[in-house]
Amino acid sequence: MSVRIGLAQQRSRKHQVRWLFPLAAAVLLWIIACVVVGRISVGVLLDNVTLASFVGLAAVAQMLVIATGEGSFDLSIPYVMVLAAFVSGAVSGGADKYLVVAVVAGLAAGVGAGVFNGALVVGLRLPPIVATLATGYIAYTLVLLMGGGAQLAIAPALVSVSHRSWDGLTFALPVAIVIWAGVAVLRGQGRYGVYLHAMGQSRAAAALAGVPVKRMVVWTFVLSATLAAAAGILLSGYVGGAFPDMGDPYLIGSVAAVVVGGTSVSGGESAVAATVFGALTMALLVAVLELSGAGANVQDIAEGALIIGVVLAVRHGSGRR
Amino acid sequence: MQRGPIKVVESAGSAVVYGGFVVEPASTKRHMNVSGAATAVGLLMAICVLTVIARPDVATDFGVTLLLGPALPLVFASLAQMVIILVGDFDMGVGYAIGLVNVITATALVTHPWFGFGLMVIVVLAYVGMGAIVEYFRIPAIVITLGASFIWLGVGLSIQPEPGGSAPGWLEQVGNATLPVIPEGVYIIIGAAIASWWILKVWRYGVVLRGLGNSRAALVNSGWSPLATRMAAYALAGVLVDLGGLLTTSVTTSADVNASATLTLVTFAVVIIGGCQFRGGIVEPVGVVAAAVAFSLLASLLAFWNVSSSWNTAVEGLILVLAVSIKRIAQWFGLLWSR
Repeated sequence: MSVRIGLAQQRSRKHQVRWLFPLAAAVLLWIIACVVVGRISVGVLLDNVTLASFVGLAAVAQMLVIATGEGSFDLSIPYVMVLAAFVSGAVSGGADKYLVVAVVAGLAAGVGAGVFNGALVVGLRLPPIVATLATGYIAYTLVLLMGGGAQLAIAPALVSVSHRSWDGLTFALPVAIVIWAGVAVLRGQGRYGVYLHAMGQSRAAAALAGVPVKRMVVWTFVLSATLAAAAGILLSGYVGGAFPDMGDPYLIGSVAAVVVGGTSVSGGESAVAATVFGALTMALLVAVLELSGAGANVQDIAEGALIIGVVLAVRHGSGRR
Repeated sequence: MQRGPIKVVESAGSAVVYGGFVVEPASTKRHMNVSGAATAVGLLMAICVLTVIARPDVATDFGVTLLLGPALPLVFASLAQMVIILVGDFDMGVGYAIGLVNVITATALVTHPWFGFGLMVIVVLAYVGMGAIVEYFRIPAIVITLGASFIWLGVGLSIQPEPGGSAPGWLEQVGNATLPVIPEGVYIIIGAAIASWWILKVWRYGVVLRGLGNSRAALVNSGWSPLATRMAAYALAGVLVDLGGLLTTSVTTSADVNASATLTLVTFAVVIIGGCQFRGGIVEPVGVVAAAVAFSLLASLLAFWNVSSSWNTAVEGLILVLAVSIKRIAQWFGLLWSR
């Protein structure tokens, strides 16, 4: 019991300051963007907040899986996003009649993918990277079969609601905020968070302390895939349809947001707000470079340098070996 | 403290004392390696037989060359990934790195051969640098290689924004050379398998490389520098990336930094089917080469069977699960050492 309390205390102390750095980086980038544009532009910020809400959902999903430790990553996230978008599109048949059923079906596809991931990891003891890769391959094939390799129409209501914007802000953001808050409560308040971080720090020790490690792994993969499914459905509304390749940027994007948020990729820790601000930082970095007329090549190099730089800075700052 | 590669193997068994984690004795591991390579070689043979049954006319020089062309970049990408995984790391950027070398060899190497060659050397040095960062700062390689993948892509786009370029004349000649008995692609694949097998399985320093992934503590206790060892492993991966990019240019005679991006995820599947283990230390070059060729041939086999190409990725995913499951089931029956 004392171990658990110690864990909780350690976590809360670390957590309080962590999100400040990515938030400061995002604000700084926004100021730079304003300087580049030559006026205070709230639009730049809001546009990127919308983009960051999709990456942020995928990144929080990735963060939970990474937190389970032992080099876990969920490589199926981009594929599950697309799968959920296609399932909800196929169920709705491109009409509004079955909108709710379609969204639920899309989320259920996510749950299914998560269960499959968990079964492969726990049942067959596959390394998570292999298991999620296999799940991703299979999900992608379902996508190609459903859409015949082309895009699929989704419920128009989903599109219109996603495009109802308040000065750049869209429907995606409030939904994302509710989901982030839910995950933050889950990992911060209940047993789930304590178990998650305990097994991420040492799975063997956690198992000995009575953490149901196998069940935790399955739950985390289900949670991750469901979050990815939600991100995929929202994204399909934002881009106006389900496209086979629309998940592509979200694998690297999700890991990058976790890293820039300052969360250790070795597992055992998580920070929802920091990860979300990490996603916003990445989005604003791209925006600043675009505004200053830099080409795609410079953007890529800057993103890569930022990821490596942040990891080195975080490692240096924490003084850990 | 004696310094010698043999010492690494011996002390691997006693790594329990130093590192606090269990390292399996070397003798039981050999069984697993054989099994791993056997899975991949069996898979390759099955796919070859099925392909020839489906289309007997592929068993010609031209047919084999046509089918093996796309396999060559994957073979070298997978070998590079294998070396990185051997030392316990992951390379998330191997696809873009090969794409970058593809661009270098189709542009700079054509117009300014020495400059192009210099850029290829820089790619190897960049890999060495990544290895140094990973070891020195103890940062998970997955993040460093992920960051580097953006840089490969960005540099590739800087050199050549649009797909294009051409293969250097000498490379085209080498690529189209007619060799006795079997097509050139087969020579390259067998050569790659033998060379990497010799480096990692026979050469004395190969034992040191394996030692880093198997038990870093044992390696340190034997007097070897983990920093130098990891840098050496990354250098080897960098050279393999260079070869992979060169062969991509030779096969496609053009350059597209994005074309090789999909290789990255496939290399993970290939390496695990080839008989390696993600926790490092276990390596099976012959199995990896066989698995890479098998994966490449699988797409054409499915096409011969009139299976929609939509199914390719699912079949790859299922084979991945099955290949690992076979090992697991064998362990259940006590045929292999189990955890």
